[in-house]
Amino acid sequence: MSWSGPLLGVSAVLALGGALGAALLPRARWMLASMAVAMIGVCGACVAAGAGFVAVCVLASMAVMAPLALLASVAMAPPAEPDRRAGARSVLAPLAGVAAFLLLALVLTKTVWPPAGGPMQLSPEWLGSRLLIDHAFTLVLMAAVLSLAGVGSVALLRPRRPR
Amino acid sequence: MSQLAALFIIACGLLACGALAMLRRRSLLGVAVGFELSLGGLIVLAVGLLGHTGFNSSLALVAGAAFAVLGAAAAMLVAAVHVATARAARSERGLEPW
Repeated sequence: MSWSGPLLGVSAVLALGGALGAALLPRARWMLASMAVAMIGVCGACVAAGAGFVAVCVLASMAVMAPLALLASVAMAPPAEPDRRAGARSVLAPLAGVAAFLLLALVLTKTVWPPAGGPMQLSPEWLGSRLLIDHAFTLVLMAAVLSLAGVGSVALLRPRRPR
Repeated sequence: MSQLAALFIIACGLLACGALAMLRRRSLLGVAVGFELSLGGLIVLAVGLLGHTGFNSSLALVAGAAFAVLGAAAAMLVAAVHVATARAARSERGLEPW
């Protein structure tokens, strides 16, 4: 029996349930826990699709994201009012979300995509050669984005001199 | 339902929930959570579109990894903004010596 089907089903439930919780739950801790569940679902979907490398990257980024987001929620002052927009926007936003979901799902599932070409190669040697030779520039871009975020963090956290 | 359609449904759900969170939340953390959800949807979309439709499976891996790193970078920036804001508020009230 193939394990990818059940794994994809469980991952879909985790990802969609977690995403709904992260979008709708009122408290910051619940929102973060739901986001973590959704990202675990994303990892499962990647594993089921045969992209274990991406799943490991998502897990590693979750290991960075979760403590940082928790730190941010601790540093955040308790909200004086619910973390939701009032008025017409609170009604329009869920409607826009449902419409976006239906439109995207319709377009993506109705499009006739070309068949997959050749077997996927996932050996470490092949992946390493592709990453370090063919996609070296992308790796440099990733490092640049991380460096920019680090510089921004240091600039924001640097103590300011009194004027 | 084929595996590709299931991946698309997951990606669409994550993208829609991310957009919903970004529209609905008032705090920076809520908007960041919406952004991370959208990035998760983009990761699944990249794996499904590029890896399973014959375009370029290695590009799918690289794109997925890049989106994951972007998510970590965004979380780092949001945490820094929150900590900086909290410290500024504390120093205004004279609670911190710097």
